[in-house]
Amino acid sequence: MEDHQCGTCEIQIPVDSAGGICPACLISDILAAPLAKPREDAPALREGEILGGRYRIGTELGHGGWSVVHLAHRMGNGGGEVAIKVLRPGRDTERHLARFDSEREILMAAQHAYCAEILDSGITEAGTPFIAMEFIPGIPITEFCAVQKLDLPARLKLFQRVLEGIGHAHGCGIVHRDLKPGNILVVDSEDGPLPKIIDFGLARMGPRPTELAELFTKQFQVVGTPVYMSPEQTEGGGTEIDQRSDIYSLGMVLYEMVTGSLPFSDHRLRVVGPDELLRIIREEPVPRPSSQRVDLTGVVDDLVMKALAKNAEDRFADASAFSTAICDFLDQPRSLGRRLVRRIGKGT
Amino acid sequence: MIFDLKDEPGGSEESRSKALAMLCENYWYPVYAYIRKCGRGAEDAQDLTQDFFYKMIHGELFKKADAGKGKLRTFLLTTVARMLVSDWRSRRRQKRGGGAAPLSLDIELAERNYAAEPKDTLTPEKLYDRRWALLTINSVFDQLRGEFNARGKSRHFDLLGECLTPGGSDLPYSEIAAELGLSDAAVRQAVRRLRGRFGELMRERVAFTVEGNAEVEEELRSLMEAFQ
Repeated sequence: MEDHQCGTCEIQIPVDSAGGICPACLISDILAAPLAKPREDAPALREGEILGGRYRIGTELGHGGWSVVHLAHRMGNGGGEVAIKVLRPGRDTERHLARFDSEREILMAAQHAYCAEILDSGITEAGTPFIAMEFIPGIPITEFCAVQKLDLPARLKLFQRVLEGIGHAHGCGIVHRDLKPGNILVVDSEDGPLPKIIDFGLARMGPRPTELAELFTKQFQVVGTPVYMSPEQTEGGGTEIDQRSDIYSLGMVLYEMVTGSLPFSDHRLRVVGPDELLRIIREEPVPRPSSQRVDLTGVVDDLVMKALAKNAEDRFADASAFSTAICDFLDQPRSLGRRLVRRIGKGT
Repeated sequence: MIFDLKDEPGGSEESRSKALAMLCENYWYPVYAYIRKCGRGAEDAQDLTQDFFYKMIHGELFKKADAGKGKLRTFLLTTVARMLVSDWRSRRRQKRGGGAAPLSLDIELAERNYAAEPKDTLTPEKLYDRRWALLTINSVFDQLRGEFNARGKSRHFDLLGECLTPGGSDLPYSEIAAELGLSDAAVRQAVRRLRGRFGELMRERVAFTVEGNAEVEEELRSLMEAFQ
């Protein structure tokens, strides 16, 4: 009986592992997944239910600790599919209601072609608030790049569109705080790849002290992967989180887009204890992208490494500066970067 | 709960039987492998494993130890370790009622498996944890396969089961979709649901071996670390 090596985490997979599956990766995925919905919960919405006389509820698309998202068909108004987000039963506490309301306000403020659009909001028959959003039939940006086999310039141009979307949100005073490939979906449209930034559930208006307890819940129980989290997000103790935290997270996304891998193995981050995890994010140097892919130039290294600086002061000051630096690499006029991220600083 | 094995008035006969069945059927090999790795021969390990579970079933070990605290996995390990340094061997046949064996051990298979265990620096404790983790995963995998079979969807499980981990299947989703007569999006959704269901069953199974739900995540991490 001979073991074989897992291509992802490189452990020796026991030959009698069911289905030949890597047991470490399997448990790692379970730990990363949201905790199962408590069985005693009644569903917030039921398939086939008509919500507010205007949406026929379809399958559940996903759920987090406090909300659930359903696909729904819009009745009238041109029809079409929408995503309905609603608080889970039992989560209609004052804190969650305030958070839900905050997300609705943020979505309304962040209206942009590259951000998920809010279409409607209301109250269910049970008295729970809901938000109707544009349904994005896309896939995570890193997956899109791999599936479409985009070349490096195409990946960078797609990334610039993401910067345009997040730059708009920053201009409105919004910090997303949870940027990662799964929250940047891409649809293949007639105008080329169309990114959409989704899930502003953790977003906040303006700089805001980080809440360590919330982050730990997020790391170890809900979201699972802390690799996109900026060093200052792990600090706690009143450290201010501003738009440069999102720049770091986007730097990590870009790292993955251009190399196809992450600088710190997600698996490793899940295995180490909390103290070591925080030390890695705060202190451990990020290997340059060219160390992962030899065909990348030093310019790409510089772009990514500047975004991933441990100290927020050393990063791009904003999405516009990030986009302008990409323009330089792509030989685009520098003004394009500023124009792409045109709303920064306007505070509209 | 497994701790109903204790001689407590509150432990129902049904839960006790269920706990015993799980304990004996699922977890005898980690105990056997641990004993072998500690240097005992096959025959000796077989006797000691039988002794160990005999005393489990008859409640003697739970009376001796503070079984209500902590995880079943670590409780069994420390108990079997204590057993090995004690003087049980000389007394076991007499205590076990003249050699009555509580388990039907497939020692031939166990020896084949043991012969295939890594020969490197794996400690007895690490081997025990690794085998425990793998048994837990494999039994949940079988349970999930049973759910699919019951719905007449065994072929679905054959193809989707390999997608439980990213990169686990050699087939792209498009080929799985064609084979099952589904759309790519439906396969993607089915894989998501499968992973979610596996996670639920795994948490349920692990919850059975720890004291409270709060320990489930910690125990899952320990099971993952067993393979490092």
